[in-house]
Amino acid sequence: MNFVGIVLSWLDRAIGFVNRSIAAIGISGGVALAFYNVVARYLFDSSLTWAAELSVYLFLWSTFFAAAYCFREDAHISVSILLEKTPPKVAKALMIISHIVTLIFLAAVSWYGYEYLLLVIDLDERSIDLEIPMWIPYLVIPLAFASAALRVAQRLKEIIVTPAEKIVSRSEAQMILAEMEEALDEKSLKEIEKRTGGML
Amino acid sequence: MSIAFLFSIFFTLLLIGTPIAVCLGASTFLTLVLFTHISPIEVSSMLFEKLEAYSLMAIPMFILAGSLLSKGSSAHRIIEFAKSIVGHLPGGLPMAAIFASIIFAAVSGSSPATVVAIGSIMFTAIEDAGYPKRYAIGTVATAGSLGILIPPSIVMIVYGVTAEQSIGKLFIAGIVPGIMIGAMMMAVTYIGARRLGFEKSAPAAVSERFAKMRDASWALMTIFIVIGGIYGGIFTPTEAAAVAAVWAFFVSLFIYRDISFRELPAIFLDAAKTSAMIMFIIANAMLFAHFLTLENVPQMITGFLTDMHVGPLLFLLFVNILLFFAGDFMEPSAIIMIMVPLLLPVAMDLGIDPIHFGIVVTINMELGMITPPIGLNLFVTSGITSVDLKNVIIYSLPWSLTILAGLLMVTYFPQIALWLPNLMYAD
Repeated sequence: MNFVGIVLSWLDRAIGFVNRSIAAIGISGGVALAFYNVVARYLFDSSLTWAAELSVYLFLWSTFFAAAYCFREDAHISVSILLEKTPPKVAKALMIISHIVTLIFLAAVSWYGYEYLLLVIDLDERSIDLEIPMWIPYLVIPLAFASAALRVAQRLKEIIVTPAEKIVSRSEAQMILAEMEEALDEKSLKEIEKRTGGML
Repeated sequence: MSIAFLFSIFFTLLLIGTPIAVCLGASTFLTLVLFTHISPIEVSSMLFEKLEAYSLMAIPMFILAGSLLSKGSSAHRIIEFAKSIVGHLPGGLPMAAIFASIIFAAVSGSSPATVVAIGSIMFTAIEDAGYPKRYAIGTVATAGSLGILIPPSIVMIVYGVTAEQSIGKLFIAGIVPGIMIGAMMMAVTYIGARRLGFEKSAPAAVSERFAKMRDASWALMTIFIVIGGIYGGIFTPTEAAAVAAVWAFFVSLFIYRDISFRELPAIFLDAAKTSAMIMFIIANAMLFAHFLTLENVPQMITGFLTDMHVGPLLFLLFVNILLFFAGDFMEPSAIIMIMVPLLLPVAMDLGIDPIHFGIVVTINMELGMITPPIGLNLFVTSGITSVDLKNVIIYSLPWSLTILAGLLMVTYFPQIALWLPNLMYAD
């Protein structure tokens, strides 16, 4: 692998890691804050409006970054009936078109999201309760959509270089089943590990 | 013109396998830029702002609660509890599968995951007990879909936000229809099993029933936290979601011990992905619906139907047929986000209660999960039993037709849905 390739694959893993971390931390942090707010309302009789606002932002960051991550895995819900019924070459062409459209859409939202960000900084908008500058929560739109676009571009490249016969577009049901099997395998692996004392 | 453009782009993208969220977003983005003066900058910001509703935040929290509880032994515990209650009757085992599926689907929030969790235990158990194959496959494939009628229900949250109706009231309104349709499905099973010559056996001892219930109650509590919390006016639905998620965390980590601390990051990520898929669809569908409202499409539909002198009964029939077909090729949240702003004004105009309408919509979404061509439950059932899809559909017929009958009853007798919430919220 040449130098550029190494940098790219390193970048890919770094972005994947950031996507995953924000997704997981956002959702768990959001729940924790929302729960804390319920407790605070009952015990101290004071509802923390800033906590509600912050938890919304955490959930939104988690949502958009997890959505970006899902593009990498082609996990987003789609209708795959036509792709399954058409000959592989046509299916490949259709997949290329749909990925190009997705790429353009994501890149456009990211770009215009960035312009909106500049506007918000310019107007110095503040959030209602936290009174933080609004560009901080808004940052998620350009960032998450850009990384989603990058993901789709990678996937597009993969599709283009793969021969038509070898591309598999998995339906949602197949994905659920694959996930379940994976979970099962992990469990049986652990069982084996336990029995053999980690010898395997 | 612009509306025709929007829909043709949307359906073209949908057919070639573009993610539903992108179909909605990209078609609206293009239409807005080409046909209106709304700047693309505003469209980008709308994706964020449309999602900022605090009540929508219940969705990731309920999903997290569901993924924590669906990982381990709760399926087994719920089945044991269901068996101890109805297992002794003729058709007891498939009835227990129905009972357990409804509860597990409500707790886990996912109907296909219910098919896997309950099915993997019950398919062989029912067949080994001597029941024909359809009792094993038909019951598990269909019953999980009832989960979205029992709170907590993500479909209802989406409806509540879109229709600007109280989510708590919707949750309460789903209970009676959910129990009623579940009972109808069990009755069909009971009658069928009696005709096949299955006999009643000795019921489980009260002490055993109680023990099984206590064992399952930790998982069942999530349902009661939501119902009780809202019923008692203690929590808002979003607060109930936060409490349910923390409860699920506590139970799976310390009571059932299904999950170790090491597995937590993976579970959080998993829940974040599931909820992101739904929330991303919602954000884009809101954009889509925003455009339709901007173009006065709801008013056009209302005007058209008023000119045709369509009464409430005919209208509801039309809604059922429309949603049935929509449910066959699209994700429930997207359908609700798009269809409800279009149909609800007409419904209100005709004097249909918006809460009742929400329940009708929800039951329609259930039918979408168990009817071809998209019916996820059918695919998953076929996948884990290796019975081919056509036979899964045939085996499911007695129960899916029962749900259809239930839908018609709830549609034409609004009191089934409205009785409980009206009782509670009558001041």
